[in-house]
Amino acid sequence: MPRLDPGIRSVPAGFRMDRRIKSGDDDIKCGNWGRQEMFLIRCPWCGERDVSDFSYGGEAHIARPTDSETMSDSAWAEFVFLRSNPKGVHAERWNHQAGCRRWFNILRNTATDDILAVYKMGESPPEVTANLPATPSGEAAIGSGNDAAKILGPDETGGATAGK
Amino acid sequence: MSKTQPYRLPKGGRIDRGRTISFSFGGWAFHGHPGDTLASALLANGQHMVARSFKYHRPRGILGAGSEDPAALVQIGDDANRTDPNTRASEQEIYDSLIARAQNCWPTLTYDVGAMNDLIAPFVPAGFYYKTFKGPLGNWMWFEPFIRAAAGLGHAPSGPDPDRYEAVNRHCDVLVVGGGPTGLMAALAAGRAGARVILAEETAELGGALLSRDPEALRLNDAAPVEWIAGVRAELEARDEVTILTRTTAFGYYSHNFVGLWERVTDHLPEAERPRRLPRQRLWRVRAKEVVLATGAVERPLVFHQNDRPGIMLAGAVRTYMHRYGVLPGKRIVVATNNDSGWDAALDMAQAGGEVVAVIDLRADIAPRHLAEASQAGIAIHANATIVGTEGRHRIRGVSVRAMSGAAASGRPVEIACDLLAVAGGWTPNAALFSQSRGKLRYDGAIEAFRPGRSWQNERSAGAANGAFAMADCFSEGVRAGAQAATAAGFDASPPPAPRIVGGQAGQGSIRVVPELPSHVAPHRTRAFVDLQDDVTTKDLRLAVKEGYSSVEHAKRYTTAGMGTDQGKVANLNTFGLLASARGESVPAIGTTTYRQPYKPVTIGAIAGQHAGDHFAPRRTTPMHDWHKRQGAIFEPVGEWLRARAYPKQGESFEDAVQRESKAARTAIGVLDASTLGKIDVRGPDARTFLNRVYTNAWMKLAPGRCRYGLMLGEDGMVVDDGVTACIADDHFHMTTTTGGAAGVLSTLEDYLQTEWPDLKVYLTTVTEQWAVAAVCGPQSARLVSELCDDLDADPAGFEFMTWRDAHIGGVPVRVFSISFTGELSYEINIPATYGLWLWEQVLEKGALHGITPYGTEAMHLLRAEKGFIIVGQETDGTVTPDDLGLGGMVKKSADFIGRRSLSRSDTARTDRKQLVGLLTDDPNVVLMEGAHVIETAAESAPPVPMLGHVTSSYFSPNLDRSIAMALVKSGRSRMGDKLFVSRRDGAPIPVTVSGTDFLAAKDSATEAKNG
Repeated sequence: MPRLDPGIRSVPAGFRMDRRIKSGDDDIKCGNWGRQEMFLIRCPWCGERDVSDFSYGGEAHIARPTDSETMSDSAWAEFVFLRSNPKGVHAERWNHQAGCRRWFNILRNTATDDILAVYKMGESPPEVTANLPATPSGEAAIGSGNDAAKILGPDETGGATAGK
Repeated sequence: MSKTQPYRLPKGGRIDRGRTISFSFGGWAFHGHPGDTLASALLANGQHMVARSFKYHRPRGILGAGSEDPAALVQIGDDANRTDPNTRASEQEIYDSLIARAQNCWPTLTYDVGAMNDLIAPFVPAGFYYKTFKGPLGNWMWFEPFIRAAAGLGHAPSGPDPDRYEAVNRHCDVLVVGGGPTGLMAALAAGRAGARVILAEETAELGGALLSRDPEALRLNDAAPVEWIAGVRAELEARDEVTILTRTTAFGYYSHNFVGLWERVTDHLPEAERPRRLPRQRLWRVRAKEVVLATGAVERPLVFHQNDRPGIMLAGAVRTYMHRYGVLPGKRIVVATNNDSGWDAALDMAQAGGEVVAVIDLRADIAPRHLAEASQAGIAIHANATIVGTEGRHRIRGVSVRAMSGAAASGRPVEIACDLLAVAGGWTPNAALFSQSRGKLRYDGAIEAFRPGRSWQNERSAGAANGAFAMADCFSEGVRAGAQAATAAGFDASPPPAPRIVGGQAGQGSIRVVPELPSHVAPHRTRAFVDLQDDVTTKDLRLAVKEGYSSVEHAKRYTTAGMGTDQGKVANLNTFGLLASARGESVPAIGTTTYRQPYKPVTIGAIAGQHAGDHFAPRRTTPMHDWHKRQGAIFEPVGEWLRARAYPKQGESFEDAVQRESKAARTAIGVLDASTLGKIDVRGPDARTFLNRVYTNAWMKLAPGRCRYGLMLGEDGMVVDDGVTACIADDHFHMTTTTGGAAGVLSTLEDYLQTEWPDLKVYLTTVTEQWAVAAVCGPQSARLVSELCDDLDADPAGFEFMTWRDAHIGGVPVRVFSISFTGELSYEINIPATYGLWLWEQVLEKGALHGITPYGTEAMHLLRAEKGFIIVGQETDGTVTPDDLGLGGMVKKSADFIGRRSLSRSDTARTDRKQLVGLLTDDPNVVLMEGAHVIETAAESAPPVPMLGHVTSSYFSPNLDRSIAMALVKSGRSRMGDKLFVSRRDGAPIPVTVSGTDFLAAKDSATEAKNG
């Protein structure tokens, strides 16, 4: 397992147009850690709204094949059934169901629920930076039970507490 | 019990001594004062023991003074529907005629049969429950009922909750959690900056630790603490943008600074005095720009042999009882400590009039100030010493003390009699919310505890929650945090000065943490408890490590340490310390368990809020609903709709009504309220192309005026919806969907239009509620429709099946569709919804001459089954293709449509898939059970029984005078006439014959054959 660098990571534009491309060493498994979805999402048409206004539409940029007749069973099955489910930056579709009912895309860091970008259908994902939690072992940082996700190492610096 | 409250101090406390309250605990009457908690009132009466422990049923007393208390759990109230289990006595405020009971004991708290569990404790080691799984076969089966009966907490209410709850949403600039010195200063700083502030305090009163100090000894800006607090409160209340919430716990910190607050609005009032206009509890769903966590610190107990007796309390909690509640819970007091705060507490108790007989400090090096003060107060000092054992069954009677090291460490322990042992094991910053917000903790060696390290969301911890235990630091960190938060939220903050403090307290000073204190008793006989609620001892934890459960997360689950309703608030750090020492590592090296929401148990009522009973989900009704109600219809929920299921007449059973209605619809005339069918108006130049892509069949040539039945698939090739769509004009279609599927179909279609085919010019509008629909069915229906309409001859000779016409009824424009879901001559009259009830009444009035019978959804289901028509969701379950339903002919070859490619996948193209067939029971009077399994043999073989499929629909048909059923059966279409069996729970499998699904046609052809 490659070591996962801490801190800021740059994601190139259009990185997930083909979801078979793994973005660098970001090939990590996602655990189920009982996420509570309590997001605030900025609809590109209506502005910021609570997540209860929206419905999730799965991974973005998976175009419906137009040549399905000539596709193999497995290629078709990949379109229908397989999604990338990364730990890290995920391009995904959302629908402002209780608002304008428009579909749009967001880039979300699934490890932290940070919403890094919101963009309209048909647009390419913008270049974003994602703050991925680091673990010494390279193990998935959150959801793994890895203590490095919960406590600072001796050489790590803190921040944003009012304390000493 | 006496009214004297022998442990009540002569003065002080935030209680109203002018009024005495009577309440009951365990059937005994007690007295207290307004302002008391159940715990403080019981302690005032000398009642320490309030509960029995979870596993061993050991006596449990009151350890803490707030939400941290692990084991003083009681059942509140004796109304079976209102009673509240597992309530902390230290949090429940008393009121007149409050009824509280001890839990987990029988017959009484003092004489508890379950206490025998304690005798078998040596045979019930860590992970005992799990070990029974692995032991000889049957072990678990044998033990399980006993374990379940013996281990337990309170009793859940037995009926529906009669109380009202509400949930509200709030946005704020700065949420301050905790109303102690830190939180008050933070709220003040943010409030003065003009920020919208919510200040949430868990207890009934603002002030936090300030209320646990001797009010005579402490001055803030030259004022008594409560006066200073009142001043701050007054200023905050005067600000429109500040909301103060007391009795409110922040229980969950979620993504994007979303914090759940749980307010107990009326729980502190006698039931008769709870205002009806107020909810019992309120859930605040707060979205905060910035959060200040001023949640204070929690004191740890010391871990020594026999440390779990009632009468052993946290030293800080004793100070709270003294100064906040005017109770000194003992007369003869011993204090055991490993840091300076124990000495402050001891002196405090002595000054309040307690006889503090000894202070035992694990440390050898004690600050001269403490030594001097203690000597002056006549307190015996045992430095470098520990408690090695205690005595007292239902309340502590004495402690044994011995030196930690040196020659005396192996000698005879000194015995000291006492009725209260105050323990001070050091303070743990309360970082639960910080961790929930995904902040990283840092281990601070100076306090031997974790404290907030690096924030993840927009929050900051301050004061004791941040590891700053000295009062002056709390004030200054509060100011800073409040100002920082306001600035970050976009305000111009000028921090208020912290108050001048006289008599404030320093922190806990140096600390000596010993994970497990030595004892004069042999190690295998010691009982040193780490988790008082779950009965986890040091031995259990050591055994867990020995058996390989060395990770904190594994050891926690194996021993259940920290898994009680208190989530180990006082226990966790001691657990980590013990696990670390058993592994020979440091606490930061082994880490912590994960803090999860909720911080403490929250009632389901508060979470549900208004969404209970009729408000659980929206309920939609048709324009004809009132008529159905007047006719005594039985209703059923279909999606969000309430539909009439049948109209039983006086004295008629539901089943008889269904039979009567079904018979009438085929022999004379019936009418169904079909208004709930999903209706989507599809318009645009590309509407036809669009339909051709979403339905399996061809739509390019459907002429205006005609209708067609369509099947809709998912991309996986499975049927998701069906319905009839009519061509209104070349660029205009009227689509119908299933009642339950309407919203989902509209969403899916919009998704395809917006994201896959944005080039198509098509506009979708839901018109479900714009049209009311009466479906008339039966041989007489053509005549009735002709009579109803001003301008339509419905005779099928001229008005062809699967076409529609514009017409008028009494001048009101209607659309009449000649379509049928029953196989019988049938018309669906669509009218603007406001005329729905009028239309219905017209139909019934004019239909009366023809003997019209209104029929409900159950008869509709039966009628369509007679014809072999499917219902999506009944014959289909997301694994059924058109071909499985025998509808392969509806799949076009000419063009692509949603799900097309999946139909040729190797699995979907198999010929031995489960296929829809009819089943006829040998005995025509036997009606199969829907969902029952179809099997091959007359008797079930040994499990697993090979299954061929299952029954999807089953009825007794009044028109065929026999039972009919449809089933999905493996290779069913190639098994026509085969004898199969349908299993049932009681009795031998039922013999059936495989048939086609159109039972009516089969009957007609049989009749023809007979007559021909």
